[in-house]
Amino acid sequence: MNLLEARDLEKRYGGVHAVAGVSFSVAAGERVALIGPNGAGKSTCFNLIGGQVRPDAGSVVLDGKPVTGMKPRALFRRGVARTFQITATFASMSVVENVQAAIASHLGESFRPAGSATHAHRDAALALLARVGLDAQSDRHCAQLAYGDSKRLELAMALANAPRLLLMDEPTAGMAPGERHALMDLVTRLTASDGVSVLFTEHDMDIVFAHADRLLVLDRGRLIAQGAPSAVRADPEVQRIYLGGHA
Amino acid sequence: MTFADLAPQLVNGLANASTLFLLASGLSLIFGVTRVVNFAHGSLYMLGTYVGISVTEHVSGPLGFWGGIVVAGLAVAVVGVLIETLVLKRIYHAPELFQLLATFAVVLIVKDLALIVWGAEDILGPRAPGLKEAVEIAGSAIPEYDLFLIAMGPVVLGLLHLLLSRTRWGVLVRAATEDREMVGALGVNQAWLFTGVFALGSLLAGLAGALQIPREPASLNLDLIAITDAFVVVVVGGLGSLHGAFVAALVIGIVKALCVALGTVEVAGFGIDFTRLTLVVEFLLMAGTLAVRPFGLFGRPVAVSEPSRSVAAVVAPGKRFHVGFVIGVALLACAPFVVDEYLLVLGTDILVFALFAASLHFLMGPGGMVSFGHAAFFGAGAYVAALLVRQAGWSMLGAIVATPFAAAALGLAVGWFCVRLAGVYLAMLTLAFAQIAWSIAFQWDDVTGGSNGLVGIWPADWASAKRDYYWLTLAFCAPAVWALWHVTHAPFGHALRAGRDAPARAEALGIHVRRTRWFAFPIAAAGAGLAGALFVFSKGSLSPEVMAIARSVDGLVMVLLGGVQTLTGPVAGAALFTWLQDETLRHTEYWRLVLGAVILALVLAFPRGVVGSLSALFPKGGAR
Ligand SMILES: Nc1ncnc2c1ncn2[C@@H]1O[C@H](COP(=O)(O)OP(=O)(O)OP(=O)(O)O)[C@@H](O)[C@H]1O
Ligand SMILES: [Mg+2]
Repeated sequence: MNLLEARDLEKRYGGVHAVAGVSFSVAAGERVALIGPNGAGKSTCFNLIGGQVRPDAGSVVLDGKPVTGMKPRALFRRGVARTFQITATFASMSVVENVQAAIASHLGESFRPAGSATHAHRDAALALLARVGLDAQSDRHCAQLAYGDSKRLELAMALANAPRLLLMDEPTAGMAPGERHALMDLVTRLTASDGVSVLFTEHDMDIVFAHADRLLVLDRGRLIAQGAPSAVRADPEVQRIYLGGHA
Repeated sequence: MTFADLAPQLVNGLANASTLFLLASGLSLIFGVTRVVNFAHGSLYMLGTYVGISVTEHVSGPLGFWGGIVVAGLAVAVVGVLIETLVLKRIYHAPELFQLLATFAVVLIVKDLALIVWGAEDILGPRAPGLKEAVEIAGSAIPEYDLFLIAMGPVVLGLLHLLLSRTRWGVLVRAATEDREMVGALGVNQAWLFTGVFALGSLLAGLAGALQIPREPASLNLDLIAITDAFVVVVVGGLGSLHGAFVAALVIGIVKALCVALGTVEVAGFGIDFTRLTLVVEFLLMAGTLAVRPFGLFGRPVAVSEPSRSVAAVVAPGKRFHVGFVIGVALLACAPFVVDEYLLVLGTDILVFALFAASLHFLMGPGGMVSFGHAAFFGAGAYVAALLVRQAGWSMLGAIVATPFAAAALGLAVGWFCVRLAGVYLAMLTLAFAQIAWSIAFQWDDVTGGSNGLVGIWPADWASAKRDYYWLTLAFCAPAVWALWHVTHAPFGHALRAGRDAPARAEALGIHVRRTRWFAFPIAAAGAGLAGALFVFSKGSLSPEVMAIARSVDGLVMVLLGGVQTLTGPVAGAALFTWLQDETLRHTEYWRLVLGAVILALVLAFPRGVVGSLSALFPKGGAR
């Protein structure tokens, strides 16, 4: 069964038809890349699925249940996690405290007014940091992290609720090429074992072909092609967009 | 009621609306371009009134009057430019809260300078030469000067509109208001733009103040009254919208006039005195508007800058911190054995305000919500405690213990509305609630004693000695401050900070950001309410002044002085503020001038790091 189904999603911003009737699905354990030129509507799609933005029309179905327009925090409880195109971490906290806050939220402890947040779940948080290779930097201030490391921190936070669906909007943007592959290898390693589905956007085609089971190609809000990487690569329409001066 | 009854009030209201618009448009322009919330704008208005009257006292006749208005406008414009170039220019890149602190300092300084130059007595201005008569319209006598003012509003709106749409400078101002980065990209000489806007905004404030002289005496309270009115108009109209400010000024002017005209009306057997509403009606309007339109009537949902974004790292307190705290409290507990009674009274005040500041800091720091009306909770606590003892016959101790719960309930109610908004809008809504609370205390004679307040609210016998009451205060304040700090570092405090640092991220991680913010209100309110209860027994009396705007501003200054980044900052800030006020008051009545100068010096000397510098001065402040 499909874990995620997006049906006829629509979103307009004034005159811009950011997402114009997009339907696709993601199977359990599948890694799907959403690609397309700048402004194609990829982030908007993510926001519609992740609950940040409510679609004008269409529906989102998670595990057979409608979740359209549900708040991000409610989706989090249903096992959806995400990272943002512009990395967002809690700047006033240390690296490990960021993860601890995520774990506390997952355990429903965000309203606990007593007890030390610095001590609670520290071991679990350190274990998560170890999984993304950040354990050596756990007590650093997260503003001091290198860019790639804050992307990893975001990943660790996203994994705090043991998600079934991981949405990653440009997880490797702004990284050096070597680092990009390392990060995506890490994502694959961390998710494959637990059967986590991953939907990600990416501009680097090497990464896409190396790490996606299936591709979705978006252009001006429309899905123009989808399928296995090799098939999509051969698609004339896709070639026109990627080679025809569009991107 | 006939039109003839209504007309004079309506005209009066419309005339007020014009000066209100002039005042508010200046504030709006300045905020739009520089993004500085200029608390000193009301002080500029006040200066306009004083300067205008002074000129008419020296030069008689029309030249004196009309010339006085022009001179006042220009003089205030010069003052505005001085403030901008000497103070604000140096801190445009500093955190927003820091700029706020600087403008508070200017308010303090201008108030005392006005006191030195013009004295404490209100000064009546002359009537307008040539416009002293009243004309008869539809059977009522309408002052000519009011008609003149009514015409001024649209004229100024038209002129500003032309300036902004037809001149290159105006286009830049609009561009800067809408998109600051674009202006930077255009390579505009930003410095000149900012100074120019400040000059124009100040000119408008000065003119507004001077135009009011036939209608209203110059007084030293005008600054806070004017800034509050101006904020209300700007917020109701929508930040950065001139037309919005115009409409809002008209609406507020008319509604106030209606309240006066309606007088007491029988509704379902009850006599409702609408004149009493005049004090709050603008705040009710603002609260109502923001509840329906969170960005004001004409405001667009632009990203309201969250002042908190600038907040830096918060390090969790370690063992040393707790040990330091305990030692600090122990030392404070020993104080009565070494210091005299005078210092104990001062010490009691410091403890009370330390708790007040710490509770405000809880909202501003971890919560990232700036409150302009925190005194509402302080005052509510004071009144609740006093009334429990007075009316309900409770013991002092019972009242002090119960008060935080009452204040928390109020905080829950107020917070529910406030957390729907963000940034300056949220701050203004807290101000609105504080003003509503103040006016209830001010007008509910039977219960609160009205403007006279309540007297004879002394501590129970066992705590009536100064040193006993000091201990009692310490016994409540120290654990309360510690509890606030504890919550800050509990999972709730971290969730609150998470929502402040990166709201979208926090929501995606399952944190109910709005609800964490909401629950921060009762916690902060409980702290402030407890402080208020302790305050009232230490003074033995209270009046609506306990929750006046000035006290909310004092709280803000305490927090900002100490710094939002650290936990001990607000406590140190409260101690410094209270001590400095007391100390300077003993030598000079101009304590505001001294305090303002000290704050400005700190702000300018450490344009980013007053906090760090202060915390170096006050290491491990403990409960000081
Ligand atoms: N909040 C918004 N308000 C107005 N327009 C928006 C908003 N968000 C997105 N858009 C518009 O919708 C379109 C799609 O934007 P989106 O961010 O989804 O593209 P994208 O594929 O993620 O692009 P990129 O590769 O640059 O990240 C763009 O034209 C963009 O300008
Ligand atoms: Mg994008």
